Amino acid sequence: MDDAMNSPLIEASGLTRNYASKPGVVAGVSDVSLRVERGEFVVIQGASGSGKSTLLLMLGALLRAESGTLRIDGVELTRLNAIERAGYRARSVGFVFQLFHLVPYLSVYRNVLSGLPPGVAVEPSEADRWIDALGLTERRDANPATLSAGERQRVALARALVKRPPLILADEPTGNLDPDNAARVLEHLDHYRRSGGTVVLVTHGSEANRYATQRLRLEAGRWAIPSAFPPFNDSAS
Amino acid sequence: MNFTLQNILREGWYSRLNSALMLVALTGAVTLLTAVHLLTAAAERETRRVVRDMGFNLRILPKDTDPERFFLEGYSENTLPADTVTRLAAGAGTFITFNHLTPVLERRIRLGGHECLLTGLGDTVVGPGEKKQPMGFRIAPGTAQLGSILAERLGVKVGGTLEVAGRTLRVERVLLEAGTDEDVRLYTALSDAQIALGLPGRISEIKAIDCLCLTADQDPLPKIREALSQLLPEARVIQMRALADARAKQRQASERVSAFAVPMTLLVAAVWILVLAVLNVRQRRVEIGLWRALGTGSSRIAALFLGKAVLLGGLGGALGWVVGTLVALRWGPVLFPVTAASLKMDLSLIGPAVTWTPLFAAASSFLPAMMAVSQDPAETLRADG
Repeated sequence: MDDAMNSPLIEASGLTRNYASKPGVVAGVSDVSLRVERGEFVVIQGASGSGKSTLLLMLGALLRAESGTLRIDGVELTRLNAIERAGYRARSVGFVFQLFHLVPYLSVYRNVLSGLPPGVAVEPSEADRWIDALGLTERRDANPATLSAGERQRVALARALVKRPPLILADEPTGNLDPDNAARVLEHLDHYRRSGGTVVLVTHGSEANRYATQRLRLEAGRWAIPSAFPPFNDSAS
Repeated sequence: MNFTLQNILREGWYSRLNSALMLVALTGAVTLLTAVHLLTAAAERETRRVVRDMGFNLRILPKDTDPERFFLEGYSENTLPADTVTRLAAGAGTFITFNHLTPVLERRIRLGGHECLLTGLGDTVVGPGEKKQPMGFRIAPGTAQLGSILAERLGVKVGGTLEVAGRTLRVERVLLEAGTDEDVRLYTALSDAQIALGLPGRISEIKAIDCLCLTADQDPLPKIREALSQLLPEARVIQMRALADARAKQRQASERVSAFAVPMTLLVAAVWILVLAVLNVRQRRVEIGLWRALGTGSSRIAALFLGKAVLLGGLGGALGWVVGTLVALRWGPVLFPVTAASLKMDLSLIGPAVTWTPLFAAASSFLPAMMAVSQDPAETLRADG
């Protein structure tokens, strides 16, 4: 158990995944390796089509790697079948998306509750705790359509955090937010990291840089030279 | 309430238009099926009644009846014991081929200086479980009914009396002019005719209708004769082909309408539901991807779609039964005025309506549900490359 806790949360080696994003255009990632320790805030940057979302979806077991190995929290994801991958997502990963992806017919409370997988022993009151923590108390019973973009993203964040997963995967979480709301969301993610969680965030912007413990850049599906980034500075936390 | 059911109900309300259209399709299908079922039954009753008014189409005669004499005179000069009808009715499989067995005794007699046909009618025996609806008419002992020409010749009216072989009979009815030998007939109860003719306990034939309902080109007579030879070897049967054929054709036409309407209704409803379910899946692509990302299993996602179909199916089945019954009760009497009073709601249809409709809706939604399950979440959830 101690060994598992001391080992890196994510160990990826030679990950490759190509797909036709548009007719005649092949995108994805090629021979990508990655090591993420527990408690890190990894920021992966890259332009549109650089493969960062593809990598994130592979880390979330929503996409299968065509080749390479991917071990997260001691589990080799490339060997899991569909049911096991769903179980892994339910237990171990919280997703935050650029477009929020809230369930339109559920209230804020029920959207947060939907982050609790069946069979996971978490009190429903935990949903209220996160709603309060993210400043959504007044909007608890509101429909997502009536929320501002910042509120929606905080609901999505609460939904990801409610089951206290070891890993949060955030795909352009601030892409649709104004600077104030973007900073607020990043603060919450950083707070989660400081409480023991691990965050992998992909973005084409630079607003998350100050929270990063590791910064990487993807270009055309491959890592750009890591030395292009300044060294990690823990003062951000 | 379980989380899946809550989500089905909330999504159903959120996608009100889609849900309403699906409900309309299911309700419409069950409405049509219920109405078709009730109206087909009504059409059959109406057909039966119309044909009954046309008359019997089978005549079961003593085997030694001379066909030449029979057709010249219009009746058999030979007789059978009156209990032949009860023996026939008791035979195994009688009512598969025959029904409305009516014992008759017929002879030509002179009455008030005029020749007429005396026809004694006994009680009709019908198949087990059927309501007794006498073919032609029932005549109480001591009463008579006269054809129009005979009544005119004898100068009798309703309420008057007649002397027949020393018995006084009260004229209960004078029949409308039929344009057939019925116009010179004197109808009495079988017992009165037997006394008047000095043939107690005898009948000259059993009139019946055939239940096979085969048209002339399907050649029903050998089958009818084969059945009778086993049930009543001492008798022979004559089929009044034109009447039997008309009845069979009408019945077969009614069955063809039903055989067309039912599958067509089901097909249209299935296609409608399929299209709506596919649209629903397309509309909910992101939501499905999200459920996937949250670790929801395929069975739970399929349950969201199939569950909606099942719930709407149950509701549509119940509503369809109500609306279909109302439609049949409203328009049935207009379409089938003769048997209008027999049109009633059929409670036995509720069970099948609320159990088969959800299954039908689930079957129609199965492919879209599988589409939902097999959809690649990565395609709908990624922000960009």
